[in-house]
Amino acid sequence: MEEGKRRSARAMTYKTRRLWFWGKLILEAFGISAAIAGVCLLVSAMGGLALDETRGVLWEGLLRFPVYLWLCGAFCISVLTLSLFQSYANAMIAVTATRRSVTAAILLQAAVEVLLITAAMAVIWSFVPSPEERSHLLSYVMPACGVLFVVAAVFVIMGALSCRFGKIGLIIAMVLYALLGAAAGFMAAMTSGGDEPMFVGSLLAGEFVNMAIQYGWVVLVGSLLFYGVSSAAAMMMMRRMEVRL
Amino acid sequence: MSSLIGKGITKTYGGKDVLRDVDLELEPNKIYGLIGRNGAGKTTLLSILTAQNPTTRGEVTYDGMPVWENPEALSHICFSRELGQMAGSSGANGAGLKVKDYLEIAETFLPHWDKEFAARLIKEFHLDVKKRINKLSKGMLSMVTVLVGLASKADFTFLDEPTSGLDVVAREKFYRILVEEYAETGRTFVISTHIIEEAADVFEEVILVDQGRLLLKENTQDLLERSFHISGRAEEVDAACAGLAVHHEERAGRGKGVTVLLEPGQSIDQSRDITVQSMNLQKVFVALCGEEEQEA
Repeated sequence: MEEGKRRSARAMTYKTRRLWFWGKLILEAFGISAAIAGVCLLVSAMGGLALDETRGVLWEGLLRFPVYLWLCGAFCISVLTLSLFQSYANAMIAVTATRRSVTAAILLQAAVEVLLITAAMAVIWSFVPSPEERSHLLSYVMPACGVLFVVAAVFVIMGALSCRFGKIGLIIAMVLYALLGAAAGFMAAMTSGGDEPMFVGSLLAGEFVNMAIQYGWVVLVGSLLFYGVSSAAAMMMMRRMEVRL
Repeated sequence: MSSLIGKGITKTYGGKDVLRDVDLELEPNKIYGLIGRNGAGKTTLLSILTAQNPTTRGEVTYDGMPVWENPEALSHICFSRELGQMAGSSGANGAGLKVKDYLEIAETFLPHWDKEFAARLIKEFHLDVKKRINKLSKGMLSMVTVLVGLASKADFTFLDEPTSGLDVVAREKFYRILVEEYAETGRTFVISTHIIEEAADVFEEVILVDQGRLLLKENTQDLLERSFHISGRAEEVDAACAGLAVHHEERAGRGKGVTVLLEPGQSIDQSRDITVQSMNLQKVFVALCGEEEQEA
């Protein structure tokens, strides 16, 4: 009877333990992104990208920190997502978590991470003193969120491929993305006019960024669709994964 | 508690059947020993019973529910396996995890995980939880296997070669804790091992797998009571064994030795000039599974 009571108590805290595990992971990743972004801000201020003294240190920090947070966040999301698939997924399924729940949890943590980072960007930029500048900066939030979802989607596919097919899966993913990148570069070069491809290419990139900011909601919707498709692909790949310990 | 039932389990890798039509029922409140030669299919069978790997054909159910991707059924099961591949690899498959990370994952995903018991076992086995899994010795890896299996408190706990790599003292400790845990909780344990004689006293039932097939599943004591080694002159032995299932013949000059497994109602003709000896589990296993070497 005593053992039975202990079992019931342990089972009751089971859901709490899982929430805590994933919640801790998300907060740690966010914390690491913020910490590295802080270091980047310090280094950039000390290293030559001088702060505009007319606006003050705080204002400059409010402007720049979210950008660094976004960059570091992209890096952390990619590393964490890949690591969860490669290192943790096998171990979790080995202790009888279902493949569905593990994959869903990894997808959810990446999405929450993206939303946390872009929410932090929006919150910090909302404190920028100048209303014009504030509005301009806040218009970056949607496309920034979209780009983070694209990064997450890329690494979800890489992670699922490497988890399901091992090293061969990782190589397939890298080759796939290399081909896509080559195709994109080739298309840019083809439309450049021939003689000064780099300059025209950078002009095209600048136009692309402006369009992305102007139609931020299109970027966001497109990236969410891409994330949805990569999530579905990950679920399918992980469906009959064999545990390899 | 319900039984864990496998029906028609078949597993094929690259066109080769690793397991063929295995039907198995594991009842609650028992300690099973799973024995078989290297490559017989023991780990594959355990991994399929615990939904770690999918079957090619066949089904595994717990309380009538399919086990595959079923959290309710899986909450009653734990498979703690040898972390061999994890240990040998550089970063993939969790090798970079520390022991405490792996135990944290076990604690998170095993619903009945007993943290106090796990802490006690860490002390008992002097396990360094800060070490990375790929830096552990074989013995330490076995300790992690044992710890996860025991602390899971799962109704059906599968341990894949838990004692390989453990020294004698650690093995004695493991069996003592296992029996204590079984007496206290009535959990079902399925233990695969090559160190048969040491574990034979602990096994209530033995499951013998050979070349992907289930050779037998029987109460250990009943099996031993019907297994005999008969030796003497060849013609005397042949006469005494007439009508009996004979395994593992050995010849030395005009002498002959055979292993027989008696079916219900059968007996050995003791009037012949033969020597009849009872057998231990290891010798029965060698007799049943060593045939291919003899034929070669």
